[in-house]
Amino acid sequence: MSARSILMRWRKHWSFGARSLLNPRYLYGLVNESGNRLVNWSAWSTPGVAGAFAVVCLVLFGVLITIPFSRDEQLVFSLVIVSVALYMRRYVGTLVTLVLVSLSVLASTRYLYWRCITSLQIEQSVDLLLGLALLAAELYAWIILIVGYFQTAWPLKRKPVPMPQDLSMWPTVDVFIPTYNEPLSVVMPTVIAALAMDWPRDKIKVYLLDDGRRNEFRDFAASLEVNYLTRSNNLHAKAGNINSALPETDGELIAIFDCDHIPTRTFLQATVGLFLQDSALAMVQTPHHFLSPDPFERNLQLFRLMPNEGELFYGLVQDGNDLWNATFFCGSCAVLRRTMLLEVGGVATETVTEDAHTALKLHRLGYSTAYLGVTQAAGLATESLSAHVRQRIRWARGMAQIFRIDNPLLGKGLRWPQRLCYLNAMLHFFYGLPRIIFLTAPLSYLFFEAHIIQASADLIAVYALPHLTHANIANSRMQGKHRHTFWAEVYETALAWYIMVPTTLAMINPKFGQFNVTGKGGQVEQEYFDWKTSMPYIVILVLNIAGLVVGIGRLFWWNSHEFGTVLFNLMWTAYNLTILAATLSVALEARQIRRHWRVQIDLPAMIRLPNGRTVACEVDDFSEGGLAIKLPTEVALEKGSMVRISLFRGEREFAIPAAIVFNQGLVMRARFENMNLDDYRSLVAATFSRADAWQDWLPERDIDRPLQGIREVLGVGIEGLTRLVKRIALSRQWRRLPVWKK
Amino acid sequence: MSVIVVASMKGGVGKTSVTANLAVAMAAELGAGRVSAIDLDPQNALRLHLGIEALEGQSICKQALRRRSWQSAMVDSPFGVVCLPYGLVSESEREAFEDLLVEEPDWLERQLAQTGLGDDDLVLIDMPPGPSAYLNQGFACADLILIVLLADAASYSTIVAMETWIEQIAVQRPGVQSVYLLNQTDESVRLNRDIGEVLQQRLGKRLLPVGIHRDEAVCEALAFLQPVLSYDPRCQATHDFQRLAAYLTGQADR
Repeated sequence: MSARSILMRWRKHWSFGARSLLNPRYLYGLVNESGNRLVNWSAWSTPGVAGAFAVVCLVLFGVLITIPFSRDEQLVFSLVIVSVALYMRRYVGTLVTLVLVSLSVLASTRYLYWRCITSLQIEQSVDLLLGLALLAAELYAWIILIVGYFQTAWPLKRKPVPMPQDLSMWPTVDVFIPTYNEPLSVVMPTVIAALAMDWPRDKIKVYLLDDGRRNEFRDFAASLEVNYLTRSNNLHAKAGNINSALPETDGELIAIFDCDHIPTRTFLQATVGLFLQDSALAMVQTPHHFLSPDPFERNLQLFRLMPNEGELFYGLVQDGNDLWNATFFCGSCAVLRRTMLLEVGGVATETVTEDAHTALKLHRLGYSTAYLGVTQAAGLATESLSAHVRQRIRWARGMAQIFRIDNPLLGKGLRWPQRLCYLNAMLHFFYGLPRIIFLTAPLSYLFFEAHIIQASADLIAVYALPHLTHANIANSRMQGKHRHTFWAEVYETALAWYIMVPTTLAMINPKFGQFNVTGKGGQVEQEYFDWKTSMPYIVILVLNIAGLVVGIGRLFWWNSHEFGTVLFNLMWTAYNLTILAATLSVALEARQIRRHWRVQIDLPAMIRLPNGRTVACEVDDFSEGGLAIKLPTEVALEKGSMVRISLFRGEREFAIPAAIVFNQGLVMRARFENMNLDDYRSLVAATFSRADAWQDWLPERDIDRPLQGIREVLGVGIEGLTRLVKRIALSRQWRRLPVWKK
Repeated sequence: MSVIVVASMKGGVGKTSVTANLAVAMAAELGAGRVSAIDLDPQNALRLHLGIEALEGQSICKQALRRRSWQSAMVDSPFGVVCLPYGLVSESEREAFEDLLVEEPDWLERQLAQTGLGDDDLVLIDMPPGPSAYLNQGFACADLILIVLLADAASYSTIVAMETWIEQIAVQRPGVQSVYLLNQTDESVRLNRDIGEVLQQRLGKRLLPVGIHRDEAVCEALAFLQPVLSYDPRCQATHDFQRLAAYLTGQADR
């Protein structure tokens, strides 16, 4: 009797037809239909029903969080809710997202409740202290998780409001470009692109606010008929710079660009419509987009493959904030209404993150803000790990300062969702200490046998694993396009040590801390390892490796009686090692000899050859220095020949002089030569300030695949460690190691 | 059948090369044999652009004087366009032909009707520069008048005269459209760029959004008895003619 006939018999015996619950298709349909019916149930609109249902759910929620389960009961419960989440994941829609979020909140809260109630009965005082530290770190992570869900569960995704036909209704705009010590070559394209924005000429004024008081900048501004403003001091850095320009200008709206953020020509038309629509609107923020890789992307070679740190914020968090009217001002690529800015006393100067604080003050007065998630400007990312760290230290310090002196939970004027959004933004920067705790917690057992969680490993597993799994499912769904789980860990870990001290100090005394200007547009002449920045992590890494070795000893010989506990701590350490190794590879600064960043773009172009003939071609990438061209056919041209390259924007043409630097096969590279100011304007108009310049920036990317992510992080970590060890072994100067940087 | 008359008020603007190259680009767009190029310019140069050697009898002028149909004068060019050369004629023949054109203002219209071309076929007619009996004939039957300009002061100054002409026909034949094509543009020359802008302001939408770039390949192509589209298929002028053809067909479809 074959297997097939047995199956037939079995089916016949049970005789489940089309309408049997054992028929999977019927079951799916039934689930779908009842789900739909439940959602579309007419009684929802009857007053009281939804409220009563919510009360029932809350009670049920409370019960499920607090009810004590045995290990096996907890296991079954976890399996059930994880299965539900995995099943629901296949459906699209915000409602399902909210259900997944609720399940995650349930699992995590239940875990934390269990941790507080049962896993802390520790007698030894040292164990208790360490246990409490870990619990505090977990509590922090739980708050961030919950508030984060609240902040991003329902992104608003606003669209631009079209401008009215009648030009007389268009407000006057002042464009502020504050600069302090950046080279003119960085500032030039920004000023030129600001002038090229589509706006009635008599209604826009561009101001170069030079805190460096440089003649070169004054002359440059004069040559373009841009207003040049400066002041006698540098009080309050950028905020002070902008504030001192306020009395000398009069536009109804103020657009602010960091001196290296090049706006597209559509920036104003896209943003200003919102001001005409809402008279209480004080500020519109657009994304900060970076055309060069940050040190993580550069050193790990992930540029444009993986969402970077900013993408979560500009792709999701700000859109989420916008729903609650809590969009933050980010200091650049934003438009403010002058009257309202003046009402809060100009840009805030009490803290080093003047932008977020200004938005907070505006919100306190009841004004609204908006976020438009359409990239309308692009700039340079920080050039090195140390510069990146310095910048984040400033942000963290500033947020801690605001938390101290103008706490969003207290004070007048804010609605509670706004308070929560601000709370999350500030708490986010306190991740330093908790992360260091997570990175070292298992060591307390491996080295000292400190039992910081008073529970057996299997019990920890049945509580902690669903908590982590659900958090992953929900976050992957909400943030998958903007953040990849384990890479985000690497970003945060690299900064954890450095923001730990400043945030703590700022909490003690908010006056501590000075404004740091972030260095940009630099070169890294030679590959080097940033010992100075990574030393704390090397120490933690070495400790973890030692812990791993000791742990293996414990596993087989010394502590074989608590095999589960040792294994649990070993696995935790192994995970920590993976993240640490990847973090350290970031510190291996890759060579960066390019002066200008190449931006990939497909653009119709024409080369006018010295003999008067032409070639219709396409631009492959451009930078401020030159461009790469895809030729349709080979062109006989010597290196060094001068040509004119025309770039097309719609039917407009911009011709720029250039010299050939490379010509092989169908690929040609040209460097711009003898550009005068007109040529430079043409270049900016045809490239950076195009309306569609940043539209197709991101290639089709994978959504978050956590398992693949951890494999990649592991790969990067191993490679980084190998290179690091080689570097130490091969270094002739290795006895002089304490001499930082190479 | 659609009729495009290519005209200019001033000589030397590259009108004949525009007619020939546009005809070739249109033939690529619409299909070989669907486009006819008629030379009504006594310079008799259109055929050269289309790679046709002169043959006795293949002359629109002589056929007209003999009261014969066009059919036998038509030549298939190697580039997918049917060409009707003006023909190598004596001075007296030319004068006789022009007298005929003055006497019979609807001569061209009638001749076109007799060719038996289908609705989807396209006829491009090259005109001599400035006002003439040829131009009157062309205006009488054109669906579109394509006026070729250079981005220079001399061309700019002819616009007033051209517009006066066009206003006159507009009274007789209200449906006729007229557009301007900028030829031999060079964005790297300041004057060229400035006049381009002035023209844009003056003519608005009647200035075609696609211009033809100055390109040595166009002149070189003529020396090789070829349209630029086959002489240098990768050059910008070729690209421009292709885009112009695509633009005009796109407009016609609308």
